[in-house]
Formats: sequence, structure tokens, C-alpha cells
Amino acid sequence: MSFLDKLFNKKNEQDQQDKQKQAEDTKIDKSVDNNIKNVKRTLNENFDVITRKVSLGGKSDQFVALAYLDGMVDKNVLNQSILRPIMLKPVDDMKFHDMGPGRYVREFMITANDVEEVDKFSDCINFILNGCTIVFIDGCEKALMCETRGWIQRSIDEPQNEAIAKGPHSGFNETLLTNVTLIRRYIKDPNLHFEPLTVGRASRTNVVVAFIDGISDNNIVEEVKRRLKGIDIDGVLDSSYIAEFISDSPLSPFATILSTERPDKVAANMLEGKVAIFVDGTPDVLMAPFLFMEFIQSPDDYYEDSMISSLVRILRMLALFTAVYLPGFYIAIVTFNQEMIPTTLTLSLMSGRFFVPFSPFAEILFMMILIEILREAGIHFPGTIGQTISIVGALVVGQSAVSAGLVSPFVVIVVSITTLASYSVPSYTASYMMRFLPYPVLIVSALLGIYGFAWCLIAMMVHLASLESFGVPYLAPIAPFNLRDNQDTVLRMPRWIMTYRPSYIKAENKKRMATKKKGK
Amino acid sequence: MNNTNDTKRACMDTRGYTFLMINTLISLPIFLSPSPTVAVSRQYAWLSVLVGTAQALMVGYVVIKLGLTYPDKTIIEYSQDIVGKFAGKIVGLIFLAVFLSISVMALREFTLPFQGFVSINIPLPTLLIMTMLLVTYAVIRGLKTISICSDVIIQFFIGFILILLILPTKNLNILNIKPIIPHDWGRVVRGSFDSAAFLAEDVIGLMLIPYVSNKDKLMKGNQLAVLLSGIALSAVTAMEIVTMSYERVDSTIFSTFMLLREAQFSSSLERIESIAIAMWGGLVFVKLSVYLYILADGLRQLLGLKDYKPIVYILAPIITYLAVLPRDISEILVFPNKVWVPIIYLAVLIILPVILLLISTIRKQGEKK
Repeated sequence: MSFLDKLFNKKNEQDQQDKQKQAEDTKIDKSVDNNIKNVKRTLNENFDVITRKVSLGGKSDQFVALAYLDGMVDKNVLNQSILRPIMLKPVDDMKFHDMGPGRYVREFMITANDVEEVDKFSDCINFILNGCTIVFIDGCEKALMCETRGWIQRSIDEPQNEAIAKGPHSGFNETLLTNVTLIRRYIKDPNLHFEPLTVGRASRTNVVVAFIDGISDNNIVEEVKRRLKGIDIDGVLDSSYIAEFISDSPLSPFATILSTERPDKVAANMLEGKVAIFVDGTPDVLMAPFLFMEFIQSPDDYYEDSMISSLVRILRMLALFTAVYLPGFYIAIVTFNQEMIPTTLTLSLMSGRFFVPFSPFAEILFMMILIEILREAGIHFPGTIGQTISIVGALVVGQSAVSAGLVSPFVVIVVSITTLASYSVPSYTASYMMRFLPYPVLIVSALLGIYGFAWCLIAMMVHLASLESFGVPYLAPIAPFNLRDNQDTVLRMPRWIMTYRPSYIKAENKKRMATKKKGK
Repeated sequence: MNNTNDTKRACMDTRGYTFLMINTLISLPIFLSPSPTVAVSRQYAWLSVLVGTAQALMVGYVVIKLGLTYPDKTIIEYSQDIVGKFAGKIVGLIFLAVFLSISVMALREFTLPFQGFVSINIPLPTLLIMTMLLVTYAVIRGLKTISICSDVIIQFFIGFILILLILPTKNLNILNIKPIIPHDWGRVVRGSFDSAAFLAEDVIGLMLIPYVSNKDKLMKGNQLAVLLSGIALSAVTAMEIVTMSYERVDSTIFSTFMLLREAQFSSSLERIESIAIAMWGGLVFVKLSVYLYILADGLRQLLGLKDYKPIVYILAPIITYLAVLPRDISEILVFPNKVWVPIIYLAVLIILPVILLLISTIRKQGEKK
């Protein structure tokens, strides 16, 4: 951090701290009017801050005031369960004086389901900002928080980036509570923990760390919490902000933390002992630790036959390596090592290149960048046009580039296979890695031929071997090798064989089921 | 998570140690050793390898026995406890010099198949520097990374051995290996020293033992590594003799590449020796990394430093420079034939550990009395 940054930050920090201190110091006033004034002042007189002063049970000398944010509350609850009883229910004077106004209103008047007493004014503001309604009562130093959260939310759709053919089709949405509920419906274990935290100075985003006690590794849970608490940022708009802060090696092209929109995936991972991080406002839930082998795993592997799933996983592994290494291999063969492949193939390769004016490297780089442009354009084209345009673009550009003699047909084939392969790896987290890595491989292979290609392979292996995700080696359980854990990596063994949970997560409860038992 | 600054923290378990040891032991001989062995012991080379394995097992026993006497220290540190401060430093230096010589030779040999079998016109220094960059990267990332790499490589290696033993079967000619019972045992024993010298490299265990987490089964793991490597080496040597006849094995340096080159099962499986080159790359790379690591780590202990990383940055260019020096392949092969087998194998790998073990045992017994 530069000197200037430090200077400015310090000032900002001080401002922030002063403001917070001020808010905390203010206790809740006995007078309703003062409280309303304070709320309005703290929230800067914004138009969506609604305050309403009403009489308590028709008394002319006793008032209560409500404060909430328009759009964040469910108006039905507000009207029916708070306003209506307070204004219309006659007050039993004896009880009212015995119990004091605060307790009386809470226990005899408000019919909302979740009501709590609040002592601090700053907490009141926090609750209002989170969509609750605060009730101030004349002559009472405590306020009441009524849970009235309710806003427009997206329905539970199938996640577009992680669609599968078979299995549950629900996906997370942007509301934290809905997401937590979706997991609750899968796992009804009383040991399921949801621990709330707040991250972000301005956004004050609610973050929930979820794990199953006994199945998850306590060290990992503590580490996740420690890293989350260390985050100091103004706003968290997406869970990827948090992933960038807490992942072990954010500069590596390989993700060491999973983000998924599928509740079934999160539930399955939690049952393996992993820790989930829910972030309010994002449909992407983070899971840690995330290991390399999960790139080729998809939820539908577990919903289909184990034999087929295993074969598909091998295919995906192949696709992953094709996506990263095929262009580099092609360039190494064409520019340096024609003798590596069968003679007839070399001949047809060379005859395809006969009229091409560019060097093989320029040629393949040109095609790869073209595909990247098409891919990027496909995402940003409006609506359904996107796919059509990108297909047309690819066909037209590819076809005419070949017939115009700009590129050889082999390059078009190589680049399209690479692109297709990169999409057959199910993990969306992997797709960015597979877009980036072919380029360094291409460059090194173009310079050093098949040696460069081998160099890249070893370099990737060393890099993968050096990564860790929350203390678990990234290549586990392939390396360090563990035979039992490998029942669910490249191969997916039948469910009745997978008696134990993966051993790289060190927990007390390791057994999935008591004995190996087939269906019959 | 393991934020302990202590470099002595465990990097691998016994299984990891075994895999790493197999990787280190077999990487060079599986490609290089059949030819010189066959030169001496003809068609009995596979037996020679087994005799060599037996020798290596004895060395392994001494090494692990010695290493487990001081389970939390490396030879560089406890040699000073055994034979005194000055002599201990000399012993440490001898070991480091051996490790250095192996690193240099392995680095140079690493590039050989890339020059010989894959015709690329890249200048040798470029190849060496690029390789050294990779090795340095792995070493800087630590022994744990190297151990994980070797785990990956060994899994491919198992497949590779199967390929080596299955694909060439169509060229089988049993006459090549007959008579199976040798007339001349002297020949067999003389031929055994080459492979024994390679397989006795588990002397690096003296540097690695403190980094192994669970030392109960270390002896078993180490001996298993030597035994498996020896059996695999013997099987491959036998395969080469059976399919290529010992005269041809003798005349080719990288006979294992030739074995695969001739093992075309059908016309659709051309150029499968590229698998061998890939395997060579992985195996020798891990061996190089291990040696650079123990070299840097040993120097760190000898000099009493805290961090081994600066030493790696200094060592890497030196090793690269030394590796450029030999002019051609015949000069490279002088080292294993003339220096490694007669001098280092006998003096450093056998006699030195035995003496150290003897002295330490006598001292311990003296302390008890």
C-alpha cells in the first residue's frame, strides 16, 4: 500500500469510527419524538425511511412510534400484526402499570411472530437496515424489534450455469434465509450449525458459516471463521469478493474454493465434512476445502449409474487436459517435432498448411483469440440472439478463414475441439482456468517444441502439488495417495462401497454407513 | 494452516517416503542401467540386478538403522555428534559433494533423450536453464510439494512398467536369455555393482528421515522401496534381453526407449517411445528436485542458517553451469562408470554409513555403561 493510500485510509477510518462511536453512545430515549428524530438523522432523512407515531390503544397521552425501511418490510405483517393491535386493542390499565409499557406491548399487543427487546440505539438502526420494524414506546428505554422482513425475491430456479439432466432442479437465490432453508430441507441433523457473521463496513452483509458438527473438521471450521473475521472491506456484493479474500492462493488460476448454486451439491459436500459459506445477496454459496478432483465431478454422477458416471468422469478428465494442452501440443508438433506423430498424419497436416501465409503460431493464436471474442460476444449479446450469433459467427468466420487460405483446417479443428472440451468440464469454476492456461502452454511449446510441452506439464503438476485448500493438499486424494479416498475421484464406486467419508477431512465421525450392504 | 516456522515439520508419511524413494531410486537406472549391466554380465544381467538389489538392501538396512538412531536430525547434524565437530563437518561435506555431483549429472542426463530422441534444435544451456527453473520452483515450494509430485509420478510409473512388460511381448525370443542358470557367477556379481550403486542411493534417507511423520514402519517402507525398484529393474532388464538380445542392449545407451520403439503392437500404435520420454521427464525431475532440496537443506544445516531458500537461488546457477561442462554423452557416462560405481558406491554409500553406525552404537553402549 502506498503512502498516499495509507494517509487517506487513516482519515476514512477515523471518520467511520467517529460515526460509529456516536451511534453507539446514544441510548434509546424515553421520548418517542426524540427517537424518531434520531432515527431520521442517523439515516440522513432518506425518503424510504418511514416513521409513524400512533397512539397506544387509543390513549391520548401514551404514544408509540414505528420505524422501518420502505420496500424491505412485508406490509401485511406490519399492518395486521403490529399497527392494528397497537392502535385498536384497548389497554388493560392495571396490567399496563404493573408490567411497564415495554413488556405489556410485547406480550399482550403485538401479534408478530418474532419480537425482541433492543437496548442500544445502534442496534435499532442495524435492524431497520436489515428490514425489521422497530417500535419505540413512550416512557420506555428499550425498543422492540419486530421481524417483518419481506421483499421481492427471485423464485427458486434451476441454476443456468450448472444445469443437470437428472436430480433436483432447485437452485439458490439471492436471499440468505431461503438458501439456508434449502439446506435445512436436505439435512435435518440437529448438529447442523449455521453461524452468522457480518462482513463489510458499508454493506454489512450477513455471512453464515455452515457445517455439521462431528462430521466436519473443527480446524477447518475455525480457520474459515478466522479468515472471514479478518476481512476488512467496504462492501460485499457477491460471494466471490469473499472467496478472493479467504482462498489460499488467489493468484493461482486454479480455484481453491468452490462456488456453486446447487443446494444438493452443498448438502452433499457438507455431508463429506466440508464447510459452506452463505453470503446474503448472492446465489453462489462457497465451499471449502475445494480440491482439484472436484473439477471433474458433477452432482449427476451420483444420480446416475456408477459405471457410466465413472466413464464420464474419465472423459471429463481427458477433456480438461485437452482444453489446456491441445493447442500447445499442436504447435509443438507442427513447428518442431513432426516425427512425433505418424508419418501420414504429418503429411496431411503439412499439406493443409501449404497455402497458409502465417506461421503456425500466429495462425493458432489468431483463431484462439477469435474464439475468445465470439465467446465473450455470446455472453453479452441480448437475449436469445447470443447463441445464434456465436454459432453463425464461428461457422462463417471459421469456414471463410479456411477457404480464404488464412488458416489451415487443422487449426480450426484444434481450436474448436479445445473450446468444446473446455465446456464439457462441468465446473463453472474451472472454465476461467481453462480459458487462460492454453496461452502460456502455447507460447512455451512454440518456443521449445515438445520439450516445452513437457515442461508445461511438469510445471502444472508442481503448481498443483504446491497448492493447498484450507490445509488439505489440492491434489488429495490422488497425491498424497490414499486408496480408500480414491473410491470417489476419477472413478465413482457404487454407493454401498463408499462406507467412509474422505479421510483428508479429519473428523470424529468417519463412517457414512454401518456396513457394506447391497440393496437386496 | 501449518504456520509453524520449524522446517522440521513432517512433510510426508511413510507411504509418501516409500513412493519418493522408489521414484529417486528407479528414475535413472530404469533407462540407463540395463546397458552397462549387460555389457558385463551378458544375458544374466537380470540376475545381476537382483544381486545388486540384495546389496542395496543391506545398505538400506544400515542407512535406516543409522538414521533412526537420531530420528529428528539429518546426517549433517548428527555426524558431528558421532565423530566430533571437525570430522563431522568433513563427513557432512563428503555427503553434500556426492549429492552435488548427482544433481549435476542428473540435470545433464535429463536433457539427453530430449536431444537424442526428439530432434529439437534448442541450445543445451536453454534446456538446462529451463529445467533448473522448474526444479527450483519445486524446491522453493518445499519437500511436501516434491513428495506430492512423486505420488503423482509413481502412479503413472506403475502403468508405464506394465506397458514395458506387456507391449514388447510380440518380440519375445526365449533363446536370447538362455541359459537361465549362469555358468559364471563372477560375471553376475561383477555386473551387479552398477545397479546396486543406483539402488543404494537410498542413502538420501539420512537427509529425509526427520521429515517423515510416522517413523515406526520406516525400515519396512525403505526396504520395500529398494526391493520393488530392484524387481522392476530386473524385470525390465530381462524383458530387454529377451526381446532385443544382449548384444543390442549393450550397444544402445537408452535401451528402454528402444524397447518401446520396437514394441509396435500394430500400425495404429506408432511412436510409443514418447511415453517413455514423458515418464523420464517426470521421474528424473522429481529426483533432481529431491537432490537439490537435500543439498540446499544440508548446506543450511552445515552453515547454521534458518532458511534454505537463499541457498537454492545460489546453488541453482552453479549446478546449471557445471552441467554445461561435459562436452558429449561419452563424457557424461564417464562419471557413473568410472567414479560413481568404484569410488562413491563403495566409500560413501557402504563404508561411511557402516563406520558411522558402528561408532554411534559403541558410543551409545559406552554411555549406558
